Amino acid sequence: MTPLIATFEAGTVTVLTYLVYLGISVAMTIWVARTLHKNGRVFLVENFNGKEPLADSVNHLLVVGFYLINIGFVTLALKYGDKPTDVQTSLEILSSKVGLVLVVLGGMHFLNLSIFTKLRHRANHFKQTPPVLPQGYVKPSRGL
Amino acid sequence: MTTLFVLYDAQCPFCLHCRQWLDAQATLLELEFIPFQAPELVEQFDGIESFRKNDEMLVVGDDGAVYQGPGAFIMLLFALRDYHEWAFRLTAPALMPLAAQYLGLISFGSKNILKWLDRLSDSELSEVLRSRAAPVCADALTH
Repeated sequence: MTPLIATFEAGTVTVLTYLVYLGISVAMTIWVARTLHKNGRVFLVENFNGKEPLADSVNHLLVVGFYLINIGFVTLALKYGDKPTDVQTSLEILSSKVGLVLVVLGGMHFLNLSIFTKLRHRANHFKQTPPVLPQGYVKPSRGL
Repeated sequence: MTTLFVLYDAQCPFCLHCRQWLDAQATLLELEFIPFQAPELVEQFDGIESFRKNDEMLVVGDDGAVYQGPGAFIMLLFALRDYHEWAFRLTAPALMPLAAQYLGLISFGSKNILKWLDRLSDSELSEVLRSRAAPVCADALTH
């Protein structure tokens, strides 16, 4: 008995592979973006000294950039590489394409993490108390 | 404290240079510049006249705290994002009187000078700063 996919023409196999590739890649992108959005918020809130609206805004903008770069990469990389002719090549090509997307997603994830920790580092180093004592005081009036 | 008022002599070139340089820096506290010549100065800061010596810069916090001499320069560095850590380092007894020289050195020099200064020990740094003439308007600070 011949496998179902082997009865398709080579062009149809390619299209099917592309569709599965797009489906998996976009789904992975959405999952990673949501994870970053959900868990990155608490970092950002702390960085912006508890200013939640600002943190939420930056968080949202970061996610938008993340989607643009990743989905852009996925669609750009679609047509490159060998074309599948049967089930075996289809799976091999699908695997290496999705693998590349996952590695890029991982890279982006760590880039995001390092930006967050860098910001956190900076926030931690800011000390509120002045290093010197004042020589005296004036009575603050208008505009103070 | 969220704002520092910087009181300076509008006729002193070093003060004007400092003001220009400070304006271009990223700040952690808001800096508001008020020249000594401003008519509303005494009205706004009741009792400020007793702190004024020569032409030296004064820094006043929004809580009314007045910093003069080296303390004023250290407070300025404290308010700058890139020099925040330096403010704490310069409070060392050997370096504190040289705060004005430090500000002069970094504000006239290139940004690369910071990396070099960072590697010096306190005594080396104090020697470097001592070799520089005190900025004109801060003359009174070093004596």
